[in-house]
Amino acid sequence: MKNKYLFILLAAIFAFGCTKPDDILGDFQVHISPTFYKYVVEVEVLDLNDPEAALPNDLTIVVTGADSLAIYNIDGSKNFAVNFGTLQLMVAREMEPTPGSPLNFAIEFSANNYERSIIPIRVQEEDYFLSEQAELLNLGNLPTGISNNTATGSIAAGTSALTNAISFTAGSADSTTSTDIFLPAGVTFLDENGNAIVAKRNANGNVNISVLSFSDTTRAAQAAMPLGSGMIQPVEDGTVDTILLQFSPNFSLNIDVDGIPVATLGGGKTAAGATGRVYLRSGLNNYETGAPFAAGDVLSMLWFDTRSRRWVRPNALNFTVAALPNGKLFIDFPITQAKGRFRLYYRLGYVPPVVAVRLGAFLVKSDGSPEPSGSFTSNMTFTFNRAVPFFGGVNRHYIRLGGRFTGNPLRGAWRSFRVNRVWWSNVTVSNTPSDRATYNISVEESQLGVTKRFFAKFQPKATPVSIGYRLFCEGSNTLVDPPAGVKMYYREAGSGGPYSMFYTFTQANSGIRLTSFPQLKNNVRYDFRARFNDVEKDTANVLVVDRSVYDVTLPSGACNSLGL
Amino acid sequence: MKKLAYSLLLTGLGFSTVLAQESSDSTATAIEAKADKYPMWQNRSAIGISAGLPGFGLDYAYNINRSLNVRVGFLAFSFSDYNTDLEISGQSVNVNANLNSTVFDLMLEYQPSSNHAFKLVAGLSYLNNVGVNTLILLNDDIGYGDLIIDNEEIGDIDVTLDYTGIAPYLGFGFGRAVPKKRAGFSIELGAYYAGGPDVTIKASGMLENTSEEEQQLEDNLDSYSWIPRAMMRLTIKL
Repeated sequence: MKNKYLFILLAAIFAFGCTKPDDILGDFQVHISPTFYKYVVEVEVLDLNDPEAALPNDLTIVVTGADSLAIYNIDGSKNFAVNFGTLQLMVAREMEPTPGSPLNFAIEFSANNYERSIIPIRVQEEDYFLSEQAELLNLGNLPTGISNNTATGSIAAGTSALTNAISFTAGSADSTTSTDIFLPAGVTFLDENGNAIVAKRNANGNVNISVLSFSDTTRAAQAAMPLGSGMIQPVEDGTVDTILLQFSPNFSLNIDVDGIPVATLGGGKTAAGATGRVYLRSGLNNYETGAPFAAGDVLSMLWFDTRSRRWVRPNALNFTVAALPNGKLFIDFPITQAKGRFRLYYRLGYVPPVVAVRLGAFLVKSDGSPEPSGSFTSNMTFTFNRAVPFFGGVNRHYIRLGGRFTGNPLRGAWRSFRVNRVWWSNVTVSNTPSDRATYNISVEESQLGVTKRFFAKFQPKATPVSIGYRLFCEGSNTLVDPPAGVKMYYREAGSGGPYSMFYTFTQANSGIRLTSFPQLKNNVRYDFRARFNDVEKDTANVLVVDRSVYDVTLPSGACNSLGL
Repeated sequence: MKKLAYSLLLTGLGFSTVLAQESSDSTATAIEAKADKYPMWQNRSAIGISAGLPGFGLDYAYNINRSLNVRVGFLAFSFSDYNTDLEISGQSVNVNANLNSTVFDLMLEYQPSSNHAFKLVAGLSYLNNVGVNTLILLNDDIGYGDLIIDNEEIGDIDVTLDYTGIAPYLGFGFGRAVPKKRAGFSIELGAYYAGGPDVTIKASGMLENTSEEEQQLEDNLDSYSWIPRAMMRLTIKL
């Protein structure tokens, strides 16, 4: 009897020891962080006049520059594409920036009947997420503040010289920029290789001239400045400096012969007769004196060199301001460059005093105390305001800043530039409606040495809800960390309203398991939307409960695109 | 002394004191009844070699009385670099496994009857790194768009299941620890109670966060508290 008990005991020992292997791995997940890349650069692409307008179907995106080989579309291909209004790029792992060796490249957007837009990018070490904006100027749908004037001429068949002189006036609606263009008969048109463009043997050549006139007083005209950086522009004037340009007449000249772009003018002495006249609006201040321009003042001209991507002087000339009998001020200048952007600038030799400025943003807790661990992604616009007696009372410079920010204003995205003098009366910041609903946002001004700093302080209006997530690939036990560049959107369930972006996964935050979301309220149901490359995943009617962790199943297409 | 030894052993294995008392009384009666059939029992010893699960071993056995033997010994086993390819979630992976086992035993063997070779075995063992180590690595590179991600860059998962510490043992078998004749043969089946294994997961590269699953896997393996033991043993009486 005793032995029977022992046999039963031993049998039980073996039975208990044999758990099914499936049970062992039942809750076990393989975690994959598809960190095929760490660095993400995204560019929101918009129609400058209508952000809701569809982008052109023939939009072409080219990445150029010294480090362009390192740049791929977010899906790892070289097929650069805008999805959901955003171009997302990644840096190949083996070509990442290192200390002292940032990556420099440029993104060029072009489409028929659109101004070509070039966005230069510099990726420094640990700049894991950069956010820029490209506002494309549709020449067929110009915003207020930008005007297009055109004129035509002809070249006799088989020849290259302009048959009859062309003279016309171009100007912005508010006359901030007003220009006369004169091309004498006999001038020839040279392409970018310096060769004269010859009309076809059997037909006259059509010369098309267009002048875009920009009014710096408008946000649209500032947004249409080269490089997508508004009035912050690199200027080569002895040295290269990034400065906040002052308001000035400026225009863009484009000439083509039968569609062939003209780079310069030829024709010997005749070409020297090609001139432009730029009028100075009454009350426009002389940058040097601070007083309104007067006859006898001296100015020069800048031209934007698309190769060096800087404003340079097209010639070493100063132009003296003259006055018409009616008192209207102007300068005359020779047209040496037949293509590109021009604007008036200080006289040659004048060195303005400069002030260094740095813009940034940072996060604090809802009670205003420092937030050392939080982060957020945002786009904002700083406005430098100055009360002036002309142009309707206030001059405004709009400066965009986007990217990832933390509790430390010196760690997030920033802009640094110089201005010729402290001329603004105050600096404000504007944000997306979602950000405004979530945060109290103010600008904090401080001085560090010679640098004036303006940091936007983001203070959550309520104690943030913290929630976590677990992403699974459909039909598998693989737990996936969201790849950098995944963007999350939300809206209150049942509202039917538009989704608002509230989070972007970056290399810096992809390993965080529980994240604070000031946009969300505890015990409220939301619809969520995740976007990555061309994949969109909606998860509806999710009850948000503080400190909860939610499982989200990724569609197999998304996992496949990640190589999983 | 005999009763004390039984009591300590069985208490250590979780038996009740009542059961221990009953067992030792019965044993004493049986020994007296069979004394004359096993006259040469006293103070004999033997050495043995054994093979089976969990390894190969050497031991020394000493005959305390006609029913009770004590045995000390060790078992060891090592198997390195077992490689195989598996298909997991559509991906071909290489699995490299290493098995290790070192066990030091202190056993008591009780033979209820001197007429039969059946025995009950109980004891304590020290398990030293008994377990398995498995390294899992993708066989192929992964394509991401136009980029090729090297399989080593993707990383590997190194899982180690390890039992280390004192473990009580209970088993049964046939054959004497110290043979009647010059040589003997015995078999034995039993199990160590080792508790669940310690789990160590080291993951690298893009799989690095899998190491967070260490506790989960340890919890899942908690019921694997018993390590089976199945041995054959050859003995030579000294």
